[in-house]
Order: sequence, then C-alpha cells, then structure tokens
Amino acid sequence: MLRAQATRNGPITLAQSGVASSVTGTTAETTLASVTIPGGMMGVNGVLRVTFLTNNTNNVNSKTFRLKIGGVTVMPYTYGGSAQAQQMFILRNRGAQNVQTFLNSNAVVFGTTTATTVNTNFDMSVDQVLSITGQLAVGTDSMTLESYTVEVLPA
Amino acid sequence: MKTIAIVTTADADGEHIAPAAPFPANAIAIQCDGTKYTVYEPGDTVPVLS
Repeated sequence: MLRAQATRNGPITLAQSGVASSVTGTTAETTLASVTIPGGMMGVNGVLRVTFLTNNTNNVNSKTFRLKIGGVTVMPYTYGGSAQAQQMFILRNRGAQNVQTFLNSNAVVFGTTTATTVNTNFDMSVDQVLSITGQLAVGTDSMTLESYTVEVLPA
Repeated sequence: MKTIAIVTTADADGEHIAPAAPFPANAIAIQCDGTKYTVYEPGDTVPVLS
C-alpha cells in the first residue's frame, strides 16, 4: 500500500509585521516584538531566519537592538551615527534541535568576517520565545523596530 | 488608542521592560515610554519620532 506523506521544507513565515514599535523616554531595555517559535518546527537541520528594519535618532549616542532567544542575546546591533538599518540573522540547527550555529557578525549577513564560529544550545524541540528589544543610552533619543519577518525553513 | 501596562522581568542582560499583554492585531504603531506601551489604532494620529 502506498501512503502519501506531505512534507514542507520551504520557508514558513511564522510572523511578520510592519507596525512600528518604538521606545523613547527610558534607558531600560524594552521589548519591541516577541514571537514564539513552536517546539520542533525547525527540525534537526532547520533554519530560523529573521529580517528586520530599524530606525533611530541619528546622533552619536548608542542605540542597541538585541535579538534574543529565551531571554539570551544571540546578536546585539549597536548603532550611533546612523539613522536606518536592515539586518538578517540566520540561525541553523546542525544535526540536532539543541545545537546551532550562525555567522557571528552584526555587520555582515553575506560575506566574510574574521569572527570565529559560534555554537549555541537552544533547545528548539520546545517552544522558544524570540524577542527583539531596544535600549537607548540617552532616554531622549528614540529607536523604532519598523518591520520584521520571522521565517522557519524546516529540515 | 489604548495602553498596555509594562512588566519588568530579568534575563541574562538584566532587567528589561515587556508588555503585560500581547499587542493587539489592529495596532498601527506602538510606543513605549518606560511606563506603559501606547498602542495606536486605525484613525489615531501616529507620533513621528526622529
């Protein structure tokens, strides 16, 4: 007997928003967006891909966006002297749901870097909360998460 | 326009602010001032930040 089984390996858009989420008036780290990654969704060789667009006051003061999983920062993006940025972060499971690697650079998405490989051990077999936060060095500045897309490429 | 209270939680980076409830689906913009999240809805005038 033949049994058909559907599998989906293409990108799945888990969350996407164009709603501007901003912080001003405080220097506390502030959650601007959070998305739950369902446990097991990535698979043992799956990929989590996060693309986001930000805007901030254009001065020399630091503004730090953080990409976090389970409350742990996996990549900080600190800006000063710029107004806009668009970033992509790719987290790859490597043969197990609790071993990942990613390009250890907040400036390079595709290309070369002298940064060394990083392995992480987030247990993606259980629900994990992905969050994007913002933190101002000077509270009168502002920073905005303009848009984000969270995709899973299961495998 | 509506507001969402903040909660202060701690993680590896220290304390941070988070919304006490999920952002509503009809939000057109959200702004946190350290004491609350203000959620702008269709028809509201969205503040312009620089």
